[in-house]
Amino acid sequence: MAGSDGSGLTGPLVRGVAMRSTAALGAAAAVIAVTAAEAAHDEGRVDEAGFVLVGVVALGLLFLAYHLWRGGGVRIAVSRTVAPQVGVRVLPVPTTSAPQRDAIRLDGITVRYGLRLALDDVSLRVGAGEIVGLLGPNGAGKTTTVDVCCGLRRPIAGTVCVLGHDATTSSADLRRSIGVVPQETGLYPELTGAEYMSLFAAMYDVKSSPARIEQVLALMGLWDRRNTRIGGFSGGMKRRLALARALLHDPPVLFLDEPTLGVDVHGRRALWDHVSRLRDEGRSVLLTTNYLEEATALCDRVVILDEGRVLADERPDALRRQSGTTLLLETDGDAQLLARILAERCDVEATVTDGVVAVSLPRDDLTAHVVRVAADAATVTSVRTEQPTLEDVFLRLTGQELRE
Amino acid sequence: MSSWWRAFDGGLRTQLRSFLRTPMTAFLVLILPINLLLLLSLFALTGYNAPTALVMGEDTAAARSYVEALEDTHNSFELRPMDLATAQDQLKRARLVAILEIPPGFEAGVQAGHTVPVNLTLDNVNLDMAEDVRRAVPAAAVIFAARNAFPEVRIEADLRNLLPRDTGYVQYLGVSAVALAACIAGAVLGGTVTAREWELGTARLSQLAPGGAAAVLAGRLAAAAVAGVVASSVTALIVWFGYSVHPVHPLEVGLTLVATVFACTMLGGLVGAGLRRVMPVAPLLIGTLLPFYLDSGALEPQRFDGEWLFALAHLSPTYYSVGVMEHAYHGLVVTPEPRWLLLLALVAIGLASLAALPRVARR
Ligand SMILES: Nc1ncnc2c1ncn2[C@@H]1O[C@H](COP(=O)(O)OP(=O)(O)OP(=O)(O)O)[C@@H](O)[C@H]1O
Ligand SMILES: [Mg+2]
Repeated sequence: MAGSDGSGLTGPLVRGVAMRSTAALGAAAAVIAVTAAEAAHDEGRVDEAGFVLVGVVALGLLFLAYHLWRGGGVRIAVSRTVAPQVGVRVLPVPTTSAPQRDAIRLDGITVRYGLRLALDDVSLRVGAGEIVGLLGPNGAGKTTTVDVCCGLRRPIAGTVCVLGHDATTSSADLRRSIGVVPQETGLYPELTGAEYMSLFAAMYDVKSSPARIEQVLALMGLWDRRNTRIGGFSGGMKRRLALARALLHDPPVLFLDEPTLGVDVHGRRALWDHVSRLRDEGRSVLLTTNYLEEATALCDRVVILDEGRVLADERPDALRRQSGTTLLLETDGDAQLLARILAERCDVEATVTDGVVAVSLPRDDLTAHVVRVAADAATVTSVRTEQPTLEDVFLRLTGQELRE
Repeated sequence: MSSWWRAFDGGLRTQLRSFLRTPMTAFLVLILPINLLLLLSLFALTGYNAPTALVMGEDTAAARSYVEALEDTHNSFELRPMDLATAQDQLKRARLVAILEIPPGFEAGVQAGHTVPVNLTLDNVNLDMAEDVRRAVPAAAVIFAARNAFPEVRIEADLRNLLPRDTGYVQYLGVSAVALAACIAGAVLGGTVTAREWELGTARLSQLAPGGAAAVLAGRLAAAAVAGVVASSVTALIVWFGYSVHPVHPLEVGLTLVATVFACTMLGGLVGAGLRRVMPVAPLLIGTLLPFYLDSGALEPQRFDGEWLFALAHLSPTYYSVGVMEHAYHGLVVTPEPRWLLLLALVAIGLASLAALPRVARR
């Protein structure tokens, strides 16, 4: 369709003007019809049934006019290209251009809430069969990123592509192919677990739904409680029900916003196992989490966000390696003195905790040198190295603890 | 079934189930319209039978004839015979609006052709009632004089009524209360139902479902409309059987009720989707619809108090609803617009709100 490729504005503009003119004519016709009918009625030429008929026809015309005005029915990309949004590029169609393996792809996404910049030029990718974890302190922009991917929030700049669809249009096809667990679990307290699942099975047109509902409820350990009203569920059970709902229509892409918040160890492990299996089947998962254990156990890649910016995007082990190692030395002598000597002679950071000297090594090849200097300076009774945890990495990058 | 219809159906069923499972909500839904009817009935009643003491200084044929004439004047007071001391005491305690004294020697005075004073003591705190009593006393004198063929008065009213029967104020107001009840019940239900979707966080889920949020909300609003029709039907039946206002056009009553609830449920639903919080929904909708109702000429036929107010009244569904409802029950024509247009306006308000819903839901 001309104009839908964004190559020129004339086509859409002409079409827009034409539609609005037609709409105005339709509305005028409706008004004239009613006025004429009323006049005829006053003169006794039209009975009341005729009147209602004219009214209904007029109403129909008005609605047609309204739809044309909005550009409904003839839904082309007019409004997207005509109404300019700062910096929004028109997406190339991924299936025809360069082969596109990313299930989720964000490029230069910027989101504002009023004056607050929630996401600042965020780019990230999730490949087919990949689990990516989004980590960041509260308010970093994790939920906003998920919202942008689902089409719930429009970026002011950048492109977002999910399974080859422009996510900002949030088409029905796209909605069918994603499963979402929002941060705020949306449940109807007056329904039972089974009824809640049936509702969504119907909305997503899930095939052989009773069997599928049983499958996902059993997976989340809720099958026995299926006839309990959700209002009577515990917090963790509610979370598990939300997960079951997201898995129900077996979507190729999953967005999980703090999926295991408040879920017990059992439920968490069951979910991790299941999500790992989904990855093995080639499905993609973007999850936000505050549990480093979860990120370490589950994610192929970890993206660390802070104040709307991507600080790191790496495999968890690579992230840890980048952060260097810690050397732990124990001595018979004065630990404080040893720490001072090491700091001076080796140009490293050395601290003392509980009588143990901890030396941060920016590079692994420094280990031998530091140990030699230490042995010369004091009687060293034990030497250990320690890999940083993801928590340490996080702390170093964002300057904040992950969980308060 | 398309995904839109599946979402609509899901919303409808869930909401109906929700109504049935929360009996307190269902009870409140039923009570609200009845309360509105009671409120307006009380309002009408307080201005209807103003208690007036009748102190008879003598029990003669002439005195009785004057009292009869007084009762025949078109008034809104209720005469209560009592002695002067009791009357004065009750007037002081605000139990009476006025004391009317037929003095001793009334008959003799009248027959002698003297001017006879009929004492009227008024508690003029309520001007409306006071005026009513003031007007009635001389009017009764005219009737009294005509009946007794006194020579001086030769005026006779040649009355031609527009309508075959009088419409009592309570009956008139009761009918407009049915319209108001349907409006408010529909609007509050609609607004609560949609706002709750955001409060529960489920709106986000229906926005992500293939059918979209508007379909789910439309389904919920359909259920709310069903509940609204049931609730306001009770009010309509109370006016019908309790107040004995037998509708001239019973089918029209039903049609108006459905159209009104439809219009207001959808409008309320739109407001709820805009507010996204349940708390402010009811105060805002009731607070807006009530003044519009008073402005809509609902209290008296054709009392619009000025062009601007009259024009303003057209903004609210209550205007259209009261217009048709008065016709349906009493056969009264209280608006300049024809009835079909009033009904059409209600349907149009509902449809326009429904059409705007996807936009507001997506915001
Ligand atoms: N609806 C909104 N209106 C205004 N500001 C918002 C809104 N939603 C989020 N924000 C702001 O945007 C920023 C990012 O919020 P977001 O919810 O994406 O953070 P998050 O990383 O998910 O945090 P958390 O770990 O607490 O869930 C925050 O500063 C927040 O205050
Ligand atoms: Mg969040």
